[in-house]
Amino acid sequence: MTRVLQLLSGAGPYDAITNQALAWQRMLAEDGIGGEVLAAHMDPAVDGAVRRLEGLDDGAGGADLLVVHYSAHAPALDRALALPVRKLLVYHNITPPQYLWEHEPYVAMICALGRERLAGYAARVDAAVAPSAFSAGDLEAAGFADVRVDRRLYLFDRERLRPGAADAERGEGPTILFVGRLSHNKRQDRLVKAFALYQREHAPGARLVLPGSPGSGTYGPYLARLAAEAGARDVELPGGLPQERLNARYAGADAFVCLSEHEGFCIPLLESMHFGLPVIARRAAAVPEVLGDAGVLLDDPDLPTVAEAIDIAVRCAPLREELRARGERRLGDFTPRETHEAVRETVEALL
Amino acid sequence: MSGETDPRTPEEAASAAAERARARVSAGGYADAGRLDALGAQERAGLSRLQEWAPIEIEPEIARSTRRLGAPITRFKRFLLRMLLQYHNEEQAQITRFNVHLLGYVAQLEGRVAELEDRLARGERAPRE
Repeated sequence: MTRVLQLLSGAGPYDAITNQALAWQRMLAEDGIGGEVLAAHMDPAVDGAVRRLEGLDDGAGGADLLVVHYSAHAPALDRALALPVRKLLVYHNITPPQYLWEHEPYVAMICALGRERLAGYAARVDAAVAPSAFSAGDLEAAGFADVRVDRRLYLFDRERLRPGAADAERGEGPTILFVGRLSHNKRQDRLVKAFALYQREHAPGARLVLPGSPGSGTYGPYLARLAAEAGARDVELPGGLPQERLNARYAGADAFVCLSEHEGFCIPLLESMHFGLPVIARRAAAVPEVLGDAGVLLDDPDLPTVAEAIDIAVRCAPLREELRARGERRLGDFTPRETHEAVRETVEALL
Repeated sequence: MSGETDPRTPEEAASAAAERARARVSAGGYADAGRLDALGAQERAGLSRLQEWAPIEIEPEIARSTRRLGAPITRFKRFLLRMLLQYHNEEQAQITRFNVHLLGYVAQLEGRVAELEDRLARGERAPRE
């Protein structure tokens, strides 16, 4: 049986890349391709689904192909890339460290090393693929040739978004939502400020909900302080939520606002479309590639423009209807069948 | 939104948002936008805080048992620390050496940046080194 080993720099139970690797493993198994997922660092809660990368022998565990999911520096990945077996690098993007030094210096260092080492990997892999042209740009700048871009690489499973959606949590006023790790590149700080203006000038009963893992840094407490200093009320930072509770938050929201400056893909944009939410987003990084024409894209917006865009998206019924229809059309490009096909094509080209 | 046509497409909505923001600002709205923009511009721990953190000195009293009636465990932990004192002193010394050297380098760079910014503000050319 053909064997494909997938290697991760880190694995966690709610980590998007871990879940994508496990989804790839299931899809490949349906095509008769065996394999495992291994990680350099591991949260004990992953429990059996992922194995430690240190155990990988010099024969690469008898694998026919190593798929390296690259999202951060890990010395164990360096060693695996030297093994005599065909290798595919899947680049999930690495946050530029300048966003992270202030609040997460350790993560900034890992990201800086990860970006620096990228150039050394160009000659050590047989192929490279990225889920967005934005991410492919990083690889090309690092010296990779013939980088393939395939926007279907991430499994977007709408079934996962159904449990809990009936328990929508609604407030008295409009609920504005952004979902993502609390990290400076995602600019939740700009959103808190724009929300403060929106609340003051348009909707005193509005609330802002920012689910997302706070990580190990100080950005979460900083956001809480910022909300108080900005005079914004009802700003919720509930941390990372289990899927059902997150679904309830999506279902109870009135608009999704993404002011991220750096995103390698941004699956929450697709999740918002699933829930029929109007999406307002800054035109930056891979966001326009994922959103297509199904959201309100703002070019380098100032705070008043974001506040007005929120007001429009919350109140204009014809616009909401148009965005809902465009979102449904857009989601047609991200079906599990499309992803399965993309994974099969990507892997089989190297076997 | 009285007197304004509601946008029907996302493209119209993006233009409308920018126009309405400009109009509202001209009419005296969003008076707080400038203050909010400036909030939280500098959060990084300053050099003085880093100077406090750089030398690693961990008090042995930090080793204690959190259990009820844990006094014997506390004594045992502190006994182990005394036994490993030589090792821990070396470890702390190595970390401290790295921290203070890095701190000195950062302080030097900060001074250099300040000097260059000052020269730039005065319209002088920076000397080549």
